Order: sequence, then structure tokens, then C-alpha cells
Amino acid sequence: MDELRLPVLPTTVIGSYPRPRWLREIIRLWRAGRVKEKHLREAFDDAVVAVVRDQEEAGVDIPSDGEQRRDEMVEYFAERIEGFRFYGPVRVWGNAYYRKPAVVGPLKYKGAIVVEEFDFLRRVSYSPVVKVTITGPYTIADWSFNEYYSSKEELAFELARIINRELKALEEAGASYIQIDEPALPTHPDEVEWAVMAVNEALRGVNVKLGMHICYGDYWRIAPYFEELRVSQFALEFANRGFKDLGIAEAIPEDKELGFGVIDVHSRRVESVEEVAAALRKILKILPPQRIYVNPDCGLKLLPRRIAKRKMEVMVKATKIVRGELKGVEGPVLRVP
Amino acid sequence: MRIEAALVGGLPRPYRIGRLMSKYRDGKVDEETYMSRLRKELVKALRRVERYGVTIVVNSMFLWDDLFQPFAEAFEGVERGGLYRFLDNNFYYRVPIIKGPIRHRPASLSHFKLVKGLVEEAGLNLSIKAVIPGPYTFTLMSENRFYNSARELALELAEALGKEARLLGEAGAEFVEVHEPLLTLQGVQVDLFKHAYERLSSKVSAGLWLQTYFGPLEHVLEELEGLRIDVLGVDAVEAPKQLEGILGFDAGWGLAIGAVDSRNTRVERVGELRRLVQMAAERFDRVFLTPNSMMDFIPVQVAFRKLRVLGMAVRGVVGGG
Ligand SMILES: [Zn+2]
Repeated sequence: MDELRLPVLPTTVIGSYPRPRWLREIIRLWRAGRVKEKHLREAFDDAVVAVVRDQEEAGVDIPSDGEQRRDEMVEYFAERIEGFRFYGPVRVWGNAYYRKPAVVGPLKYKGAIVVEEFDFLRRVSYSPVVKVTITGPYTIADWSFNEYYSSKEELAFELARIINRELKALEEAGASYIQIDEPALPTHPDEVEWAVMAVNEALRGVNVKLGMHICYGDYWRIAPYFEELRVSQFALEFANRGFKDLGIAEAIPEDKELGFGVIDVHSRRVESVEEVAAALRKILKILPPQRIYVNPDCGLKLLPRRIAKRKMEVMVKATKIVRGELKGVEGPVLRVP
Repeated sequence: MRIEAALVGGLPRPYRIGRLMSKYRDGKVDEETYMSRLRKELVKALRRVERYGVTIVVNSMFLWDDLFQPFAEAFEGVERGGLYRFLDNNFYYRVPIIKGPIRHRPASLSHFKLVKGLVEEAGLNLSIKAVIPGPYTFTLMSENRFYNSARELALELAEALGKEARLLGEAGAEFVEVHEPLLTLQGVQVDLFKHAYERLSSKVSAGLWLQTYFGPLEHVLEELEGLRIDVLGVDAVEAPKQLEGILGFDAGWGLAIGAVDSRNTRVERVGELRRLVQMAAERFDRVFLTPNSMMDFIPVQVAFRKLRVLGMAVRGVVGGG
């Protein structure tokens, strides 16, 4: 294990990044049976190289693979765990649909889900540290139909055992920074208590840096559990809510960090460097710089690629300006294999 | 004695219709093509529902984005805002924003006429129920930027929705289905609900079907007595224990048992549903077996599998098929 010192206010992403237009075209052709599986795979690899390059050019310290291989964050995992079935698309609003999976039998871990993704990303990354994202057990349970287990709680704990195996496989493969995505966690106030226990079950015995991403929900429902959740970082959306609720940062225990969401991913307007810098100065009044990472609110995949990249550039520029104002402050240390 | 299988709220919008609608809204498909395909799909769904033995359908079918859409679009003083979570579902509705005095404009009447025309053309033996959001739920799920109080808003909405319900009755709706899911939450503002409901019901001559879902109703059951309710729709999936109390409570209304889970893909057993219907039939003159809410939350194929079971369960009771 080596120790790696990051710059103060390390910049990173939440996970997803827009797919290049040509990749979407190849996926369409593959679905129509007109492109071979191995060519699709090659296209995925090339897309990861391209979006890592975007992040490098923008100056992001810790890149992800942009989740280029994943259509959707629950679907992708459900397709790779035994016991799930897909009946068809379900509408979420207007004419937006997703393939909501159904649990129809006992769930079984069929083998690595995202380890290959990680291996490839590490090989093509410019940075010694990369971020791997994994959807948490509660969110998978909440966004699925449960036909088999006697309760959603039982289902979530079963998923926790599976996610735990995947996390250990990632640790084994050399991952140093993993983010658990649990956007559903604040949705049902009466379930939060056991949901937190299920998430902790998934994280048990995993010895790498663990973050948790939550967005577009009431963080105060989770705040009472910040301490007991086995993660050292909470990556939260703030730009979309106009940097209200910053007080939540004070609820984060002193030995844990905030991943500060400074870019609105639901708006095509590119933020100005000055407004992002102003948001950073605001959070620095609440938390010491060593406990802050800088990231967008959420995954960038719904934006046009060009705009996503410009937003990353703005985020990095603003961070560099504020770093300049923090002369002499050292950044956080990360253990890397 | 009347025992029937009925829809509640609406059917899931098939994916291909979703695609068609977005193209139409983007101006990439013309009105004529759009309407002709829509009518074709509607007839297909109506025929299938009839074949399964469901005899009461709804005018909303799969036409609405959410429960409030037609009303928020048509009523003066109301606009559609951002996306909000619909109750505790991973499903979002556009929040109605109240920006000025509310004036009634026909909102869902064209959907009623469309469905009625198709049913008649195809010679289907289906009764059509008209769906409206209840004024209480509408008030609490909107953003009020105009009226001074929730009470004022609720009464104005009741006035407009009452006018709509009257038009729907005049157009031939046997029932108007009034959605008040918020009655199942704790801390119901009973007076607010009652005043608004009374205002609405005073305008309507069609049968009033008060629909509740996603929770129990027991805590307000006694308050409902004395209101004009022809059919009471209750959720027997999320709140199965309340059924006993409701069966023992005779206020002269018909009972709609929401016993098919519209939020889970597991398909119910005919026998279990039939038992429920039989139990209710011992106490009530009019019993309807329904999904527990609108079926938007499950894939369309699964919804139809469930409707098939719904129809079979009722047929068994009525007299051996
Ligand atoms: Zn997010």
C-alpha cells in the first residue's frame, strides 16, 4: 500500500458521462443484430478511452469510466445477478421509461459485475486513482419489483450480501476508491433505519476508500446515520438546489468528507467559473478544505457531451482559483495498492 | 345484486405509444397520423379488457401523463410546473401551479367522448367511468401561489372539478371516479376534505365513486358517512387488515375492493380474489373488484395478465361463468 497525496479540493465526477454519438449508433445497430458482440465491446473500450481523455483535458483529478457500458444504474446490476427478470419498460414520468427489473427467484452472485470495467479503466487512465461506482442494495431493491422475498427488507439484505462480494472482488483487483450510489435512500422515511443496516452489511470488511452518493432527496432523513454508515465520504447534489441546505455539511462527522456537488446536471446552461468559485468559498466557511472533494451534482449522462465537458472545465478552473487562495494547505491522502 | 370487475385510474401507456406521443409533441408526427394510431391502440386495449371480463373502463385509459395533467392544462389559473414524486412511487407528476383565479374549462371531456365513441363503434359491452382528481388531493399536491388559504383553493377546485364532473355525467358517465389517495395518510384535514367534497358532489348527478389507495382508510371511515358516495374504493393490497372493518361498516355505498396490486408484477390468484368478492357480496349489494390504483407502475403486459385474473375472479362468483 502506498500513500498518495491528492491536491487540496480534489476534483472528480459522480460516475456517468454522455456516450459519444457513434457509440449510441453502434449500440442501436447491435440491438438490430447488425453488429457483432465483439465489435460492440471494442466500441465500449474505445468510448471509455474517449471519455477518460475528455476528463483529462478538463483537468479532473479522479476520473471514472463514464459508465459507458451501463444503460441504467439498476438495470445493469439486475442483468448480472441471477434471480432477476425483465417484463418490459415502465414509465417514470411523461414519456420517459426504464426497464424495471423483477425479482422472481433466489438471488445469486454469478461472478464479477464491474471488475472488468475497473481493470480497463485503470489501464487507460492518466491518474493513479480512479473512481468506481456501484449501485447500492437499497436502491436496487427499491427500484425493483419483489415477487420472491417476503419483504423488501429481506430482499435488500440479500442484495447486500451480493454487493459485498462484488466490493471485495474490486478491492482484490486493486480498486482504491469506490462510490456506492444510493439515491433511493431518503425516499421512504420509515425504511431508512433498516436500509442503513443493509447498506452497512454490503460494506462490511471492505478496506478501501468508500464514498456514498445521494441526490435529489431530503438529506436530513439520512443525517442521523452519517456516523454509523461505513463510508468516509458523502457526495451530495447542491447546485440544483441553489446551494441551499449547506447546513447539512455540519452534520457530517469530523472524520468524514463531503463530495460537494457544484454543477447542475439537469441544466444545459454552463455555470460561470465565478459562481462555482463562490459556492466553494461558501462551503469552506463550514468545512475545512481537507474534508472537501469537488464534483458535479450527479452523473452527467443526460447532457450533450460538449456541454458536459465544458461544465467539467469550469469546475476545475474554479477549483484551481480557490486552491490558489488556500496557499500551503495540503490535500487529503489516499491509500493506493 | 351487482358484481363487476372494473378499472381504476388508468392503464400503463405502452412504450410504442409513449414514443408516438413524444414525436407528436415534438411536431414530428402530424395530428391525423397520431390520432389514427392512438385510436387503433385504444380499441385494441378496450377489446382485450372486455374479452377478459372487465366491464367498467376509465376515460383516462393510457392518455394522461399523470392524474392532474388534463385539468392543469385546461383550467384557467393553473399551469404545469416541475416534476415531483407521486406519493412514494418512483413515478413523477408535473406539479400544478395555481397562478390566478381558477375557471373551469372542459378538461377530460374529449377523452370521455373519444373512448365512448370507440366503445360504441366496436360494439363493446363496456361502461365508461370518468376519472377526476379529488379537490383535497389536488389542493395538497399543488403549489398555491394565488389563494390565501388551502381552504379557498380547495373550494375553487371543487367548483371547477364539479362542473367537469357534471359535463362528464351528461356525456354518459355512469360513475365519476374521484381520486383522494391522501385520505389514507395520517393527519387528514377532515374539514377541508369534507367541505370540498360536498361542494363537488352538489354539482354532479352521475354516481360518485370515491377512490383511495396506498393505505388504510379506517381512520376517516366514520367521517365519510353522510357524504354522497355511491361507491367507495379501498386498497386491500397495501392495507389488507382494514377490510374487515370496512365490511362491517354499512353506510349504503357500494364497495370497490382494490385487490390486485398495481405496484408489483406478481400476478394474484383467482381463488384468493374470488374469496374476497364472496365475502363482500354477503354484506354489500354492489361489489366491484379492481386494481388497488392506476396501473402505470407495472409493465403493460403484466397489467393485462392481472386484468385477466380480475375478470376470472368475478365471473366465478356471478354464477359459474
Ligand atoms: Zn445522482
